[in-house]
Amino acid sequence: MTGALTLLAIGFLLIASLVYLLRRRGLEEEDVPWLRDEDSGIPSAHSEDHRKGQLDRIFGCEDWDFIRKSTSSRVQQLFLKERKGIALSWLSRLRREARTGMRLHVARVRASEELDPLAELRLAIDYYAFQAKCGLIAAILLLGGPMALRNMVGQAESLSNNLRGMLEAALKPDAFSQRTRVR
Amino acid sequence: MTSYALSFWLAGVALEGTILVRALVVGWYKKCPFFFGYLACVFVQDVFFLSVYSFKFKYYKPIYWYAEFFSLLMGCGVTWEIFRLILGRYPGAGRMARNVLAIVLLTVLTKGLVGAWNGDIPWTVTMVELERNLRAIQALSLIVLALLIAYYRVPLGRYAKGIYAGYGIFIATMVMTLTLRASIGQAFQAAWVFVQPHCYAASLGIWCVALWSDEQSPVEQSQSKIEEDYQSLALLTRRSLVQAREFLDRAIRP
Repeated sequence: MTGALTLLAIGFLLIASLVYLLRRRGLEEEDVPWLRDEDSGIPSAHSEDHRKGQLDRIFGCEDWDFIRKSTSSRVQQLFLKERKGIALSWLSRLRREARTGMRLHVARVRASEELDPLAELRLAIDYYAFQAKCGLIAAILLLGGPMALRNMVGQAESLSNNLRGMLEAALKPDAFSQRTRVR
Repeated sequence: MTSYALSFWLAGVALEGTILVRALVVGWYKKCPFFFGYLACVFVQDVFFLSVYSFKFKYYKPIYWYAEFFSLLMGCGVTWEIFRLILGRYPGAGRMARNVLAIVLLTVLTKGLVGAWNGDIPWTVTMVELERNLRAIQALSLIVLALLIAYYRVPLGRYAKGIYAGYGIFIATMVMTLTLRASIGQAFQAAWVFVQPHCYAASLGIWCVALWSDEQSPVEQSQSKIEEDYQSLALLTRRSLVQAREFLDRAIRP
C-alpha cells in the first residue's frame, strides 16, 4: 500500500512540476545580465558601516525610549507603525539582495564545466536557511514590531541560558548533593 | 470495442501521422531524432495493431505487451533526448543532473534489492508492475530535471518545452494508472481502458501544437566575459550570503 501511494505521489509530483514549469512566464526571454561585482549585492566597506548604523537605528531602542518618555500615545503609535514599515522594507531589501546574488550565481555557473555539486548543495542550503530566517523575523516584526524583536530574542536567550544552567546543575550530582547537605 | 473507442484510436493515429508529416515539412526531425523515431515507431505499431485487432484478434493481447516494452525502451531514448535538448548548452547543470540521477537510481535499486532480499518484493513481478516500475524511474528522472530547470533557471525552447510537457504528462498518467491497475486489479480495467487513451491524446495534442512550426534558433548568449573560475564565483556568492546573514544577526542582537 505504501509503495502504491509513493508511486501515485511520484505521478502527481511530476504533473505539478510540469504545471509549474509551463506557468512560469517570461523566463525564456529573461536572463540575468552580466552584472558588475558592485551590483551583485556585496556592499563596499564604507556603505557597510553606513548600513550598520542604519540597522542599529531601526532596531535600536534609543529613539523609542525618547518617544515613549516625551510624546503622546498617538505619536507613539505612529512611530511604531512607521518603524515597523521601515524594518520590513529593510528586511525585504536584504532578501532581494540575497536573491539577486543567487540568481547571478546560478546564471554564471550553470554552464560551467567545473561545477561542484557539493558546493552547490551547501550554497542552496545556506540560501534557503537564510530565507527561512528572514521569514521568521518578518513574522515577528509583523506581530510585535522592531522593538519587540530584540526584546524577544533577549528573553529567549536568557531563557535558554537559564535552561542550560539548570541542565548543568542537574548533570552535576555531586554539586547538588553537596548543596542539599549544607542545607 | 465501442465505436467511440475505435474512433478515438483512429484519431490518435491521424494525429501521430500529422505530427510526423510536419516533422518532415518543418525539419525538426534533425533536431530531435530520438523523439521522431519514437513517434514513428508508435505510429507503425498503432497501424499494425489496428489491423491485428480488426482481422486477427486472438494475437492482439500477446503482441500488445511486446510492443509496450519496445515503446518503453524507445521512451528511455526520449527521456535522454529531453535531457540533451534542455541541458545540452549547460554542462554544469547537466553534470548536476547526472549526479542527482545516479543517487536517485542507486537509492531505488538499493531499496529494491533490500526488499527482494527480505522477501517483501517478489522476484517475479507481473508485466503491469514491471512496466509501472520502469515508468516510475523515468518519472523520477523527469522530476529531477524539473527541479534543476527551476533552480538554475534554464530557459526552455518551444520544442524542448513541448516534448517535455507532452511526454511528462504521458509518463505521469501511465505511472498513476498502472499503479491503480496493479493495486485494484480487474475492477480498474474499465477505467484504464477509458483514461489511458485520453491521456495519450492530450500528449499528442501538446506535441502537435508545440512542433507545428519551426523553432527560432536560440540566440547564443554572447560570452562577453571570459569563462570565469567556478571556485571564485562560488566563494563570492558564499561571501555575500554570509554578509547578509551577519546583517540579519545584527538586527536581532545589538
